Amino acid sequence: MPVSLDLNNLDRKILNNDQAIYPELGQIALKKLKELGIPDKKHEHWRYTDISEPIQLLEKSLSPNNQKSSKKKTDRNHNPGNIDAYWLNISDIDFGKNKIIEIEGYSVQIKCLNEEQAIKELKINDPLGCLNALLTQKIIKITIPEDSVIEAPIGISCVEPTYSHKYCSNFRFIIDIKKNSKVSFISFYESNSNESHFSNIVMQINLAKNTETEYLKIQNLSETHNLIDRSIIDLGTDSQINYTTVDIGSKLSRTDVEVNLNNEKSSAVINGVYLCEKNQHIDNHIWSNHISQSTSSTQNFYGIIGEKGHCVFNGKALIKENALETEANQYNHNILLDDSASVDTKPELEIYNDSVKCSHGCTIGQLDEDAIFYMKSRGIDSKTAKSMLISAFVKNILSKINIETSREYLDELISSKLERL
Amino acid sequence: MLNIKNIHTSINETKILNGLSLEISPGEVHAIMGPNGSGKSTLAKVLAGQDDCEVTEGEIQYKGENLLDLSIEERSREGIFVGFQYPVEIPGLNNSQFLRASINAKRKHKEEEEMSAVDFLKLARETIEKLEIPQTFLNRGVNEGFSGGEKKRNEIFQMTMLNPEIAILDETDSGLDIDALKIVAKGVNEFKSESKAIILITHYQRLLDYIEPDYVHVLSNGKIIESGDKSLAQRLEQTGYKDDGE
Repeated sequence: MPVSLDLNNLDRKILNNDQAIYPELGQIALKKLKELGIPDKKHEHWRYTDISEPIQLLEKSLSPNNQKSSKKKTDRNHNPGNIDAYWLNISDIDFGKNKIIEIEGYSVQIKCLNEEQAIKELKINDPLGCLNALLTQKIIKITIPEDSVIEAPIGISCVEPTYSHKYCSNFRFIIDIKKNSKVSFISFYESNSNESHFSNIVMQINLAKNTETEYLKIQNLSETHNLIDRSIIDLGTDSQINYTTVDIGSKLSRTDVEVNLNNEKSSAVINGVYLCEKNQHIDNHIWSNHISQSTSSTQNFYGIIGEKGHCVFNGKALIKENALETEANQYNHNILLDDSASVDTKPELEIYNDSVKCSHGCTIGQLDEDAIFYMKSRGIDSKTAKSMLISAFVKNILSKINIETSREYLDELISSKLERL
Repeated sequence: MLNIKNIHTSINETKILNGLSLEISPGEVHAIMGPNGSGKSTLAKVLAGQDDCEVTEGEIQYKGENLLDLSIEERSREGIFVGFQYPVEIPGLNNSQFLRASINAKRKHKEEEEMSAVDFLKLARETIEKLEIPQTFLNRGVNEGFSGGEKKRNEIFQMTMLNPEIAILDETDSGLDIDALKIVAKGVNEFKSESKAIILITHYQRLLDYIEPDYVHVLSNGKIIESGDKSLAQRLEQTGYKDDGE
């Protein structure tokens, strides 16, 4: 199905009436969007992912009847999966307002940006990011002050649809971690209805000098939900991020991670697990941009794909002239459980200097029949053996998540998904 | 206990076992020796139930039942243990998780209560100590990165934990240095009892210096050509497999 969106119509609908929350920002985003165009399968990065349904939902959301029609507040005490974390309630932070919350003795600022601040802070460099900026209802900035060492994770819950427009929601978060801090985040995506919906989310994560960040995304949306989630991570000197995306639900889920290793001795580990069942489509596009020297990045994605599931992995490390002594690794491993399951995978390296240590590879296979036989010869039935092998496979990634409080929830989430695969 | 009658098998249409018969009673230790390609490992595979071993003729009775009617997992749950020559590595799945699932599958089959994690760990730690295996074994992936000797010791560890009625050990001595061989032999000797039977499949006589067999059988071209007591193994060590047909 061709992807079409009348951008001039968008102009009229959004910016020429009083519905735009960030009208000036919208103009900037629309101008950029007109240059870039709405991506379709002719675009290399969108070759395997058809976004015609998300775009239709977006268009539907713009019809006058749907504007602000399903405004609901999130549950104040919402605690997804009973995971122990400081869950932020973003619904009660109004436009231009901010509040300070005390976490383990540190003052964390949460602010809903006004237009001027938004224009200054926003990174808009891709078409979906433009649409997000054009239609965004809220831009939330979370600032972790200098020298904070926060043990418990900070949770951001995106329960959809909530106080957003029907059919489509566009949120943007900016996480600003000031120097010498250590912090962890969980972003949690789940649905509270089975209506068709498109969430277009952007996370900008800025790590200042000498910071350490653990970031875990858990996506368990309903099968009627489409998600395009883009993270733009900028790393300061001596900073490091351990990012993990766990994709379980949704009809279509696209994760873009752009990591900019702008400063010396910065490092990024971008990991992912995806469990894809009937008619689901899960796509991960990861870019590690090595700009400065002595930087390192690792991408490690493990996927299980069931009947008629389709997954995509495109991991790229770009190593610029000045990024000497760089280390970059990309791996993608897939297990197909059925003949109708498929994956398109492409680990890429683009290197412009000689002082690098790089590796990449991908595997696509089935469960090891010899291992299944061995387990059966020890009395374990075939179904249990397969489930244990899959759990062991995804554990390669899950064991690298350093948020203890999420472990039990993730184990249960994965076991229940395995039952369906 | 186990009665193998005139078994013929083929793997990918190549005939391997060619009229093998063997009767084993509780309390007995049988050693099966023979040159490479004589069908020793195939016998272990047939007893384990490996799919690619097709039994074209003959029957196997186990505790009065037709063994060939039982699935691979049912055989294990009914008390058959096969220690493999080349145990597979299962990265990421830890030994204790694997073994506890295995023990509980057997218990469930016998309509017994599942073994708790605490009881399992206690038993595993005691067993592992006896076999002089490091405690870290339990948390490592099943055979993941194990040396040949460690894999074989792990088979003996599993055998001891599962406490089967009959153990078929396929070349458990191959690739072991003398110290490891003694440990493995100690494990097997401790397992030995009046109610249990053991089949040792081996290429060399040296294992039989540590585990004394009641019967020694020579396998050649897929059938037993000679049977005797321990002295047969000693004779073979001196003269070699003369009539091996290779």
